[in-house]
Amino acid sequence: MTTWQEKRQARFDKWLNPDIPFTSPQTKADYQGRVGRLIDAIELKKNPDRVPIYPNYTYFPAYALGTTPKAVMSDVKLATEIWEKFIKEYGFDAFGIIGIVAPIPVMQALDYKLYQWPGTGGVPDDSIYRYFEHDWLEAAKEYDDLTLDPTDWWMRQYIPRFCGVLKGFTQLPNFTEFMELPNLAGFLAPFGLPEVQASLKKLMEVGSLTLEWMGSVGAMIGKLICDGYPPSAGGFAKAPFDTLSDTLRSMKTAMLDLRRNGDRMLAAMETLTPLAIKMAIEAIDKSGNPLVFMPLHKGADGFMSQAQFEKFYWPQLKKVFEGIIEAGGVPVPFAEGGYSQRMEYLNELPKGSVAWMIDRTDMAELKKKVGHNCCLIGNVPSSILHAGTPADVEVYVKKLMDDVAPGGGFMLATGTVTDDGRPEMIKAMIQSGLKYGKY
Amino acid sequence: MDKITAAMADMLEDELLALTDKYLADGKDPKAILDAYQAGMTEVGKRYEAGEYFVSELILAGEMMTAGSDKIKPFLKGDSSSGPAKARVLIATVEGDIHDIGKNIAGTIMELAGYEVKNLGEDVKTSVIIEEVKNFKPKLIGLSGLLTLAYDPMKAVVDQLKEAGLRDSVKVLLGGSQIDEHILKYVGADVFANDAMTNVTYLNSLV
Repeated sequence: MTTWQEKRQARFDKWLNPDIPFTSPQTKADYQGRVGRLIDAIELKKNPDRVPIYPNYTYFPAYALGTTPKAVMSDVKLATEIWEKFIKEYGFDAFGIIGIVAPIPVMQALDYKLYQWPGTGGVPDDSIYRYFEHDWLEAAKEYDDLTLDPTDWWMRQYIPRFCGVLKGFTQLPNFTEFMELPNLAGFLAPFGLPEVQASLKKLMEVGSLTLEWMGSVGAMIGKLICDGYPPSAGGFAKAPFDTLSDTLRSMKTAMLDLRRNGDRMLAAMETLTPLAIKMAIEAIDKSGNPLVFMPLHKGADGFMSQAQFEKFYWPQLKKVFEGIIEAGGVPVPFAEGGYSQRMEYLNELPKGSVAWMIDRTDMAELKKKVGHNCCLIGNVPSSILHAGTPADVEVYVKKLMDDVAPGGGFMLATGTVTDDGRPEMIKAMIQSGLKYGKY
Repeated sequence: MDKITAAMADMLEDELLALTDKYLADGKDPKAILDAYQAGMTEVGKRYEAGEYFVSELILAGEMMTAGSDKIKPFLKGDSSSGPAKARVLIATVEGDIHDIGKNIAGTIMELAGYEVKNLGEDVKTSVIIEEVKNFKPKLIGLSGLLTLAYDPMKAVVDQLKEAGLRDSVKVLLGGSQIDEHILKYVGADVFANDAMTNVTYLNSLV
């Protein structure tokens, strides 16, 4: 039987040696140097040559190169040019792409209601998108529908609510009924309805539009790899509770559900947990990059009591971690906010299996408590990057290097996701990282 | 009435509302019922402060209070207020940011502590905040924000308070998990808070 370590080694080998024509032997060496550095930091087996510098930004490349989020969300040619230029100029050891996979033309064509973007709903052109929290899962009894048949609930209830042009999906039949003769006509007839056909046609149009956009993004990613730069992650997953509480229910209702509908939530998470693992594994299979980015929210300090965390958050999240690890992937959870009350849980996963992005948790203390077991990534605060000087950044980075780098298992990054920001400060972070990060 | 207070404090929503219906039907003093609710809320605040209760309990307590008050109010005659507030507080999420949970929790906790809180909502323009400072005359303004995009609007509020000659009349508190001493200094505010209890401690030191 293959162990998780063996499966992961196979994924690492594939990640290090992608089936892609490198631009030159030098770019191949650069690429393998960067990926190797990340792997060494994650595995905790040996020190990398220096501390890797990991990206954590949305639209910073747009701001840094003098354009706006709206401009790059509207024009894929501009977006890919900006991203490529930024990545080559700044010198992170990997690159993030979230900013260029949110095309305004696609969101408009879909009448996408989950987000507002620059130019809609009062969002200024020079701002980033906004997530619109809402009770998409409209009544507690829908937890039961979701638990029984998540795809059916997604397709006929959730999707028509957040995609205006897919409203016709409410009239779709249940797909698992399509089998023997008694159901044949009953299943097919709804596809003749004008509302259903209109939605299907619109979906095809949006699909073409998106494919065109993603074709350009895919080409850019391929080119950057050929030129020596790896993407920062290959998959995405969420904690099951966060899927309930940021995706399907508003925070307020989810917090009330903890008290009013706890059993329904637990049952729904039983259904969502293997789906989160499946989503992550399918993505890393396809991308060839084993890192799974997992932004965490309601498990942070202050939202839940320890008892709630132990019942509704951690067991399900841990199962997602274990499922990804078992398949040879590397969860990269982002502990946004503070995790001071949750430190001990980080030791429950196997050594070198998870790399934690840290925001407002004390890195020196974390290093002492969990540094022997997992890689830590972080955490130059946005406050210093915004209000300080380059010298302040250098002082902070040097202290991080003193506290967290010894023994390996550390990557330097901003603590907060960098939306806007001052270019000279991010450059100061990277330069300080190179200066003090050598092993 | 102790049962009402205990049901509120222990988050027994169904029991609390059933008891309220029963007491009102039995002709018990509605003011005494409302006072028992408030005593329950005070206990909830204490348990939050002690780290026993968290966000879900505060939100549910708020829902229970609203549902209970809706039942009780028609039975109340005349003034139902429980005495003057200790001071006025204005809270807002600054322009460019729409995060509301932390601000609203801070507002609830300050109300529980006896302060009159006016909540201006989210993505509030600096000029609106300045106008409200003139009209509402708060002792403290709480400016909330989670995004890095919120730092400059926070600074704009303080700068415009100075320009309007209002800075000395009001204290400015910054709230949000990304706020620290660097941003406090940058904005020129008086104090910052990463949790809801800091606000109350600070307010109590002012009055």
